[in-house]
Amino acid sequence: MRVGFYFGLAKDGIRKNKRLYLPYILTCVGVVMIHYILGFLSKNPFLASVQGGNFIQYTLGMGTWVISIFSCIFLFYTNSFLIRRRKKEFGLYNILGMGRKHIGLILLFESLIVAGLALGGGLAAGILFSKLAELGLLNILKMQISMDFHISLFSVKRTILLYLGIFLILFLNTLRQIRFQSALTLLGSERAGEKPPKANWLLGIAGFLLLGIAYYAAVSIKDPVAAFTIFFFAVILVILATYLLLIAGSVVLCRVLQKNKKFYYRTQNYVSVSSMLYRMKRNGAGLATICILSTMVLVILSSTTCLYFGSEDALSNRYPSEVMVTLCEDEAGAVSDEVYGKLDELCYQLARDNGVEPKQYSTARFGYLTGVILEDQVKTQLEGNTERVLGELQNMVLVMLCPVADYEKVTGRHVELSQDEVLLYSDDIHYCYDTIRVGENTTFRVKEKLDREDPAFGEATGLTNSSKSLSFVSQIWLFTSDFDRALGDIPQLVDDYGKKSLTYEMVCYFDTELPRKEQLSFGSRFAEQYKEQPLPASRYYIETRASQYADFYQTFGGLLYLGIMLSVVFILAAVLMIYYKQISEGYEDQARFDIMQKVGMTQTEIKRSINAQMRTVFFLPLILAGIHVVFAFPMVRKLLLLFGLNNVGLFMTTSAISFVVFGIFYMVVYKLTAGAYYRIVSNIS
Amino acid sequence: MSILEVSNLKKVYVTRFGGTKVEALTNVNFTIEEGEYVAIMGESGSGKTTLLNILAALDKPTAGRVLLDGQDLGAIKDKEIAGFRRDHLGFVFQEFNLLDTFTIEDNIFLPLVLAGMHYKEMLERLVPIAKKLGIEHILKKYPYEVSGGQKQRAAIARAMIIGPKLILADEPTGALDSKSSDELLRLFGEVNRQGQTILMVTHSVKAASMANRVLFIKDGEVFHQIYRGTDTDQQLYQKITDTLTLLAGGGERA
Ligand SMILES: Nc1ncnc2c1ncn2[C@@H]1O[C@H](COP(=O)(O)OP(=O)(O)OP(=O)(O)O)[C@@H](O)[C@H]1O
Ligand SMILES: [Mg+2]
Repeated sequence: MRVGFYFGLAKDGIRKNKRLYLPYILTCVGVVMIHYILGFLSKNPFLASVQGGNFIQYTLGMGTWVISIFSCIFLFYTNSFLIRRRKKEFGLYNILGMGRKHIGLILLFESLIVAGLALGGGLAAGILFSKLAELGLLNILKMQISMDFHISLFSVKRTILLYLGIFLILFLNTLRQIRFQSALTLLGSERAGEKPPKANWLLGIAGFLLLGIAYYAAVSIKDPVAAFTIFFFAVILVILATYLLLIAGSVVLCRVLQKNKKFYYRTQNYVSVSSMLYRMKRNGAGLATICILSTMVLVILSSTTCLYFGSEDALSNRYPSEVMVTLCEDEAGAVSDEVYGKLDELCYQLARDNGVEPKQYSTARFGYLTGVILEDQVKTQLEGNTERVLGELQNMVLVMLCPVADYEKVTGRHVELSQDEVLLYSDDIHYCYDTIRVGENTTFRVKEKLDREDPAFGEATGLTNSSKSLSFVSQIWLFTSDFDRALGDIPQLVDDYGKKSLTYEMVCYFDTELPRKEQLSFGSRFAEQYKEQPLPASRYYIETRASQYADFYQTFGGLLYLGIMLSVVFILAAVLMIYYKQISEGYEDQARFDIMQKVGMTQTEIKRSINAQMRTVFFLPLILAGIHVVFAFPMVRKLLLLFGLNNVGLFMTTSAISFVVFGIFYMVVYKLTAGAYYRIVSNIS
Repeated sequence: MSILEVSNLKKVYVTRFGGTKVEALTNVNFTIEEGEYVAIMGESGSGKTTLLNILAALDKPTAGRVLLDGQDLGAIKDKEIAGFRRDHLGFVFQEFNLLDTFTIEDNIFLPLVLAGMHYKEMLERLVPIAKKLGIEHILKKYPYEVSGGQKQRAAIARAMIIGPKLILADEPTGALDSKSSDELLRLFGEVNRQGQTILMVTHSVKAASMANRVLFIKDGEVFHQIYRGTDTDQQLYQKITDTLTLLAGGGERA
């Protein structure tokens, strides 16, 4: 009976504050739903059975974790907002003689109701939409669809445990806040914190500096591997800087403006600067969060759509030729002219046997090792602390060693090279020294530097259509007369995995110009026939572009899918925060609106000043997010290179489209929530 | 010449839902001369705030006319009304109505800034007023940092700084303790003696007894008025109490 009374109070509390609770509960439902769906897909047996499914499930599993952590932080934030508005009510109950215990009871019921609705609704929606989500995923992955329906108990359990846990913590946190405050502080808490914010110069300037550093790092980054290591560092810097700028920096800016009496004491500036000062203090954190969420959505959407729509591109970058036969050797001696010649003949023959006239046919042989170039030396082993090593990784190069005879054969040119002389070609790096040291002990004199545009050169190295695949690492080609002994002791070096640093390869590339399906069957026939009469080699690979096609779509499709899911969650969160921001500002402005009118400000003046303020504050996060994205562009582009995607135009397009679409969406949300704001403001005045 | 002329004022509120009508003012007539200090008294719900809102052009009467300094409030265009209010009227409210986003000084400047005045000129006006009201030392503080009495003095400064024809005060002592109330009333008296016309709504007999004239409102009409004449504060106080008793008695009979 008594318990029923408190339950009733809890229910009423939520109903009376439905303007606050409804969006909160809906967002909880949305987050729970997506959490369930991601969990469901990451353990989906059907997905597990398809080729490449493991990678996708791994990605989705990671996504589940991201959502978990994000939910935790986000729900904490919004809940604190709710509590701030409810404290007054609790203070009143308290003054009317209700004990803390009973208030706790009301809170408990409230939490239970919210948790029940969120979990019930979220799981129901999740289960309902999980099939749709699965179909969507399979469609993106270009896979066969299945029509059976099932519920993932694993995901249900995980979802329930996680969110019950979160709601429990939220409940305890609220209880703690209520418990340690007197009724009077509770009553006045909505008006508390009216202290004008002090300008914190240190933090404000730190914000600018951090942002500058992050931007500089993002723009100045040269190669993809370094971009990968720096990316997270830059992301953290940008997040920090955004918070500092919007919380402290904005206050500093307002203070500076206030100091300028001529500027400050002008009708429009007077009201907006002073109330902005307060607004930023209260909402700076919220704005920063909105800004970061927007940035994440923009970066995720633009990069994953770019990957997805560029997969064809990435595929042909990674596999410049439709068919590629590679023989690998650990010893230079094994790369004999005889085997090399046989490979050439055999591949050509096998292709023709299968009814294909090979196009763009070429062969190449080389030894290669990776190292780090420092001035005129290529270091093969890095020492020192990890940080330095990571820094040096920026200068990673691939040293390709090639018999000069091959070059002579293709060009018909005769080159006289002594044992310590080489012809050098470098693609990205402008190499300006006369000698080059590889490892510690081997130094060559550069007899001649070759020109990239020389077509014969491209043919000799297979560079025209081959090794572009590794284009994110710079290459240095050395043509030497003594392929075997050229590198002295280098060939004996092994890396951390016990693999020899120097690998020799003989490669044969060609195109079939067959449609994808026939290319596949051609590939398998080719491989089978090759198996019957293999050439002597320690390892060999036969790859066709078509066989990698599914792999690429699965990888990129999985990423796109996860990107979309995460974006939906982030957008949901951003919308809720925008909504709360408008509402809280509405309540704040209610009284101010009234007073200013009494003191002699016209309705239109007030509306205009409030409008201008609201717009500035509202679009600040979007604009800042836009700037973030612009500066992130070069870095993300480098990261895309790691996936073999080098299509700046496409990335620009997807970035622009993402921004425009998101911008329109943001505008719509603004219009809708501004309506809620005006309703609140005009209620009283 | 009279500063304020109110004739046949009537105000009917129509509630938003259902359309039931509340007649807050039925027929109000009175005039106020320049330099007068008038108090308005009446029971709760008798229409005092309604009257003040109409005088301040914050609300429109259903019928009747208000002349402020010869200007018909009803004839002023909606667009200009706020400007007119700003330039001719000063307000002091029960709840102070200071904006907590501004320092005391900036709160006082508000009407001047709205009028587009230069900072130097504003400062010139502020100095003597702040001195008179004894708030020089709190000018740089924020409303939450000062006492209720100080806030109300700041509100008076804000009302006075534009040099209004008339200051309207709605229960200015309502939120103050008795010491601050006395101090405030003393200031009002002083300001009035220097020529400022004041119209004050109050529930406090003590506050009313400091005025030159007291108007009593009942059932939406001016029911009675007392001139001070040569009375002392105490004598006026007694007369007001008597009238209020009479009013309450009449209320019972009705
Ligand atoms: N906006 C409104 N809509 C409808 N009725 C109203 C409105 N404002 C006031 N009233 C009614 O008009 C009458 C007069 O109200 P008013 O606020 O002027 O009284 P008051 O004399 O100021 O009272 P108090 O001394 O309590 O402040 C009351 O009956 C009140 O209910
Ligand atoms: Mg009133």
